[in-house]
Amino acid sequence: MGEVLLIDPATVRVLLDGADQRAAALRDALEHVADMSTAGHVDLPVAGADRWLWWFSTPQAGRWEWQPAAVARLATASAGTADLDAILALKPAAQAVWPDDIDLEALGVVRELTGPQRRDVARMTALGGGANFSVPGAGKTTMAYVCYAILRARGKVRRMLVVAPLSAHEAWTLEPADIFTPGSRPAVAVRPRIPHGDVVVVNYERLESRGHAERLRAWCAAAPTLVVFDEAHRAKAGRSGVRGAAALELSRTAARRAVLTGTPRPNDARDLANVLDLTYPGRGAGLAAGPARQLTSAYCRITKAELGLPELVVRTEQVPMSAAHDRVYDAMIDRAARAALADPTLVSDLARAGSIALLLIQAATDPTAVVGAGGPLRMARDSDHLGLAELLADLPANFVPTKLVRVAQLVNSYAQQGTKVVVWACFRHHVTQLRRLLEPYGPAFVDGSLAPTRASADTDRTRELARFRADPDCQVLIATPHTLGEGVSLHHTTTHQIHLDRTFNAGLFLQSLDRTHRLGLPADAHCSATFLVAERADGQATVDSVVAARLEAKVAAMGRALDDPGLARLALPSEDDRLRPTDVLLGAGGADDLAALFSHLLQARH
Amino acid sequence: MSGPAPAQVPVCPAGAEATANLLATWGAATRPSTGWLAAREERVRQLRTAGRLAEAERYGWLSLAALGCGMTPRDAIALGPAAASMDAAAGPADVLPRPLMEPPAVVAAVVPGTTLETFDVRDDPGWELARAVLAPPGPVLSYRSRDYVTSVFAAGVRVRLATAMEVTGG
Repeated sequence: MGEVLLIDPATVRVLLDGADQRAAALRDALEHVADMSTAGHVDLPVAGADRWLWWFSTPQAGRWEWQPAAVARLATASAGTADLDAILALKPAAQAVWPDDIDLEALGVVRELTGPQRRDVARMTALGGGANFSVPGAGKTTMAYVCYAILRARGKVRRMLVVAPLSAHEAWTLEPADIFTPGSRPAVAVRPRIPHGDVVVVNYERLESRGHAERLRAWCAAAPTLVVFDEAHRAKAGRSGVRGAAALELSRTAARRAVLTGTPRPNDARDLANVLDLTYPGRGAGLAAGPARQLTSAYCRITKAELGLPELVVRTEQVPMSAAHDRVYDAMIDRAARAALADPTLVSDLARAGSIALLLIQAATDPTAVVGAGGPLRMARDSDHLGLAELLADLPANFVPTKLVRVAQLVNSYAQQGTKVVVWACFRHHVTQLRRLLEPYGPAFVDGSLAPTRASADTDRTRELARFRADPDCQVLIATPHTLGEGVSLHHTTTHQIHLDRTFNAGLFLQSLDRTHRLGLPADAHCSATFLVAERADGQATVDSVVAARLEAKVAAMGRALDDPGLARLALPSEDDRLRPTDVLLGAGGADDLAALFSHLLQARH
Repeated sequence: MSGPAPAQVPVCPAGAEATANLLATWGAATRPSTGWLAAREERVRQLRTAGRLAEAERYGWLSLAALGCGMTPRDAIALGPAAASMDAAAGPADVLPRPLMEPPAVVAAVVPGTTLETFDVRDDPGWELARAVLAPPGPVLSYRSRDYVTSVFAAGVRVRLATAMEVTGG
């Protein structure tokens, strides 16, 4: 007689006797759902036991010696599974019925939920966490906290573990103060060495450390825990990645699970399956590949249109270059066009063409940003007939690019009205220049040079954001979209932003807009975004115009996707902590962007 | 032939080796190719992974039955898992029962030696049909206590499966 043991809260081990004919039958029927299979044993997941327990009831299986702990753990888990099956079989509208026993006021929830939020909190609660694929800015953090409060009140969970990117930790820390009454707020521990409190928030990188991951699993197993994977597309690699595999393991030790992301299928259906697997262990592939009706019962989604946001007033300002700036820029595009003509493969070479595009975009704002740049343009070292080095050297000592001057004018205008403003700049050089130029306005800044939180440093992202929000002398926040684009809410501080420059990455661009134009604003709020576009001294277009046209097309397509209750593929960034320069520059559709850029350059030379 | 008691109906094999072993045990003349067996295994496992356990059993048996009754391997592998009752007559000469078989049934079960409740997803009718058409060839075969001319039975099953494929889009 074989044995079935519980080896950890998430795993049951079936000990096999090689001579037992049942071993072959078991492997044939169940190996595909096993976590591990060796000659001597097969490890099966407790979560999703309905995928394999059936086999043990068949005559082929015969009798096994079941360890009581394994039976008890499976009994607990299968009770939840049966509930889930019944809930998943319901249509979304039936899942969205608000539970009679839940009074949010009695739970200490003071934030008023919108209609769509209330609908989706009801669904998340019914699904035991479930999948929230609402668009950015829909209030997924709030909905998760309220869902947690309900599940806790019902005794389904006692605590919550949130795995979220670093940039979202602030929201998980600050939101409870706005959601709950003081006496009802959960104690939140952010990145603690030893997990403790009601809510623990960690980043995905911690899952890649074996020691950390084990401590988190132990914490989840010690008491019924809701595990929330925020921006869950970060674990989309599933079992094939270290992070994805660790996330799955963690998910399986939890009593309840939830995944939050606005971009559940950034690439293909397998990404969606892996994301769903985190919240419905063992069912992701089936749900992703199954009938649409079944899939729509498995996730909730607030679309962009449902947010009911006030209008975002968009202004594009053409800013002419100075004559000195124009001479440098002209020499640069001349060099780039020559490089493309000399080597036709250049345009399709994402790395080389991408680096040229990056330099041109920087130079359209401030040519001094590319001094010393190497690569195909050999910028300042180019001492041939183009004389870039001399041109740069000839720039006036007090040279300030016109776009930077215009930013200063706009910031001053906002300051005169007592209004703070966010200035987005895509390059660290530009951030540094802006900090100097905007010194009178006490600028806060967030770029990749700052750690999220580091007490030993002069400053960090957390302190800079706090200063922007609370210090009346701090009138402006200067930030790079790829550092601050995800997870941070600034709309309570300002609803205005200025974009010094932009890249082809529409995902980053949209997320930066979402920082100040998001749920929670009154209907009559005045929201604006000003885009500065460099213009040649003679009025001709620059690379900024190419970027603007490409962004407009991409944003229109993404806007349609965000208003689609279905799940379109979206290229919102997923790896902002590890973005390469070409990711920052291009995002999805990079080859087309570069083709458009070089077409513009070659036309400009004709 | 008369079918065995339901308790003896096995879980449908998925893997190529287990399936080939079963066919050899039955003495079936059908020898599926390695590629066909691999494609069938993938489909059965996909269905089981998706939690469509009864459909996996039905598809597993029907795909074998389809080969046994002379369907092309391509059509046999493409059967829809819901090609279930096949209750439409294949034509005036169709003498097979209507419906040919009941839809797959899932019944509650308990894991022996425990209190754990689960489901018995085995497909008795699917097994019975596959067993009938894959039995060693002879002029007559038995299905549900009735004897049929083998070629007539196989032709009837083939047409009904093809009809079911069209209905289910398989």
